[in-house]
Amino acid sequence: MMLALSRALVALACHCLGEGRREWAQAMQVEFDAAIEDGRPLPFAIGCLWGALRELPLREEGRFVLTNYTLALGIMLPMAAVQIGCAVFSLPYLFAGHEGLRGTLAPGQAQLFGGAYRAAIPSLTLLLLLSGAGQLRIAWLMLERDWSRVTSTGMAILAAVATLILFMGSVFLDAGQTVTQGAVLAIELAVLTGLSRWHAELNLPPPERQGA
Amino acid sequence: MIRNRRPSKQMISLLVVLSDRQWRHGYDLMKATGLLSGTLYPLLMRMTEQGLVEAEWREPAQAGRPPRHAYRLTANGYALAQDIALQDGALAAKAVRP
Repeated sequence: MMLALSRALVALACHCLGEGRREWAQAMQVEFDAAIEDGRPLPFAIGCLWGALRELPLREEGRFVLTNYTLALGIMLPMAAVQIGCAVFSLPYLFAGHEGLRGTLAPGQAQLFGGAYRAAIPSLTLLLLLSGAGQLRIAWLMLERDWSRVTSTGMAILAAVATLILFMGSVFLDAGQTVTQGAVLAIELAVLTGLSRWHAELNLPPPERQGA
Repeated sequence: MIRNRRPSKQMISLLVVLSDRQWRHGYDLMKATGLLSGTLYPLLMRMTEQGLVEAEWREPAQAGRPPRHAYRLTANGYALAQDIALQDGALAAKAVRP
């Protein structure tokens, strides 16, 4: 168990060191055998990981990795959670006042249009779920540095949100919240474009080919 | 290139251990200097970039083992080690002078 954990930590340290320090990563892996023979694999592995993490902000490749993870975990995942949560909990954030469809309808309206509005809910929910799932997929693809799929997924989400804005504007005459979501998405996509350009300038292979 | 700023304690201990100009492996250096791997490897990387240490893959003493990364001081690194030894010697002499 201890050995497996130590091995995993050394592998993580080598991954953090990246392509620019591949020789040093290999050196650490070979010396790990000496640490095992000495009966101290875990302190060696923790030290390697600590050293590799401290190296990250000092190199451009490391700064890119940190930025990529921060955006994926700090922005894309929370955005996906908000959209999926909105779809699951009766669309509270799609309508002004955050009270969902029920909050937007006056008592008279509810009797007249309630049925028609309620009929629109499954489509809205589906669009939001697709948008949230798309953001989750983008977060994953960012970590894989698969920018072509990030772009295609981003375009699909943009189409879903544009449909949502049209839907909300025409059926509910209130697209304020969805326009805000669309604006945030547009900013996200612009940031992702910048990130993919940065990655291209670094000229690094995607992670799955690094071990080859 | 020799640095003007006095090296850190960790770097000095590494310079002292490597000053015999023999090839040494990473784990041996950890044991000889008392440095942890998280300190030793970044230090070795930095010293290699500064031209103080050279690194080379060397065949292991035992057959069937993979080559190991070994390190030794370059001429610049050795000069820095000598310089520090001289400074420390002068300081020590000053300290014992009445």
